[in-house]
Amino acid sequence: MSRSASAPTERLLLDACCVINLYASARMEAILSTWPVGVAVADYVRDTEALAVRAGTDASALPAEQIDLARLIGRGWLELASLHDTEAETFVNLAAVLGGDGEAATAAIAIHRGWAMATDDRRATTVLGRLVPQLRLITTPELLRHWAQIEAVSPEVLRQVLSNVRTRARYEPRGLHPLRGWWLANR
Amino acid sequence: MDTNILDTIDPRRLAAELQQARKQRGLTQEEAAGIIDVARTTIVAIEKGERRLRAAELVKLARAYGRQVSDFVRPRPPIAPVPVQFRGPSQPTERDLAAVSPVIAQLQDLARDYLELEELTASPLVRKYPPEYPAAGPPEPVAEAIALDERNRLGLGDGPIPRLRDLLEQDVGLRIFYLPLPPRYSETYIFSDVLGACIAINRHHPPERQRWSLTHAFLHFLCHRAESVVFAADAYQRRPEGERLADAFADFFLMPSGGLSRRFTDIVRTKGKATPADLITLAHYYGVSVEAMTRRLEMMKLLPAGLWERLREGGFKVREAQQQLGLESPPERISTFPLRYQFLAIDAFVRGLITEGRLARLLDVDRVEARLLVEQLRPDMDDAIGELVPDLDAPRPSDA
Repeated sequence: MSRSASAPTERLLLDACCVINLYASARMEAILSTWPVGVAVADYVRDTEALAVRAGTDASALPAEQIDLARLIGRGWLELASLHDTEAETFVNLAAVLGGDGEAATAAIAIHRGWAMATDDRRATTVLGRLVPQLRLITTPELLRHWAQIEAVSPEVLRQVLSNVRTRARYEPRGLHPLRGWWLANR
Repeated sequence: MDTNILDTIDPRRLAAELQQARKQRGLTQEEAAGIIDVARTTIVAIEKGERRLRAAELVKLARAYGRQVSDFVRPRPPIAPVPVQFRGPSQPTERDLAAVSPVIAQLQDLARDYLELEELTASPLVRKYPPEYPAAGPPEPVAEAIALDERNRLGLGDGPIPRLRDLLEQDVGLRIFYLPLPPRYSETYIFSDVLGACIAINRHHPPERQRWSLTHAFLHFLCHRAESVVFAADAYQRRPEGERLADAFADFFLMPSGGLSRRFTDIVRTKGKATPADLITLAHYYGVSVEAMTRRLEMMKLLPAGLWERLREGGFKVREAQQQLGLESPPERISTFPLRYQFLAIDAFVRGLITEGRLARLLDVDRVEARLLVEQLRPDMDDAIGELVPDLDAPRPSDA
């Protein structure tokens, strides 16, 4: 289980699943602004894995909307992180265990640079929690709750944001997620 | 993570995978050497397993080869490339080879992914393979005997087979994919002891033709199991015996004499004679082309010989007539992947055995679409599998 997202002390690296979820919220800039230490995404993830959300907020509207992070990057809310050669060995080792390059690249960068990693992926969370317990893992619901608390977001706005994530990214916390109750109470 | 995977992985296996990936990408050893700034002799040594790869080098090569790093280093069933013969009325041109080779490679990769999912989820594919049938002798009697035996073995009776693909996947244990083959190629069949029998049907062909090709491939599996082949669909000037056997098998397997004769006789008894509309309806019912149905009835001497040629020369427009009768294509599943493959991929994800990124790649969709598929199959991921089976073949926006 991750520590609370309420006191960001290190930079945060977003996995593809979190990029998709935050972009779908339609409040990504506001959410990133509540992590003043800095937020980044691996360039590999931006280029090959965090590609699209579903257009509109109607659950039946399925055409894809391409994720465009250029404005966020241009305005300094999001940085790009490239894998260094010194991080490659960790990346390759994690790719062997996780079976996916996006999650492995994000984790390798975060581990070497002492950053936190934002991911909702069950396999990544389980494996990294076991292999790299010092790596701080944060989920989309934690980021959203952190933003809602810091910005004193109204219930109506929060409900809309959670609805956006649900319909445009098809995400909501499942099963035993510690914030499933919070999500259901506020959606 | 104290162990460096590149120090412990089998260097020869990695070397073979790297070489195969480089060739599939169409790169020379010289070009690969340039990517990681080494001499060509170093690439030669790497591809022989004599020089261990460094992590940064693997990352660069994987990207250049259009592959994931994890494809080279995660535990996967070792598969040697299966050599495939071309079979058709003419020798394949260089252009043919360039167009078909990537699809053959794709079929092998997909079959390997399928096997990997089975190993991950401890769900081995049950092979219900009959012994190989001897194919010697006059094609028509041999084909009829094999078709009858298989219908009996599979409990099909003498009626139409509404979902041939599902039958062959579930009741025989074939791995069937629908892939974008070039137009003149109908199907590809590969076999290895590890993968079993794997078939790729041309997804661009009309449904009736796809069913015919699938039946062809099934006959090849039944009679020439270990021969891996890609079939060209061009018309032969004179059909060789092997093709006559395959066509005859499709006739007898898809349109068995007893049931078809009864249905046709019922039509004639009721209406006095069969009309072109009846041919269209019968063809639709059996999931074959109108031409195949007409020729079959001619062969059974239920229609006069040469009727199809006369209908064709008289300007008989099959598609228009089908539309007027409101007949849609046969209810065959045409998705790229076998149904079981999709279920295994989703099951592996739900159980935390693969990441979301890997699931999306396995299903060839983006991550949000992958989430949709999981949601439909597993309404609550922590419950047992629901009873509602989603329509995984419903048109998706990505198909538009």
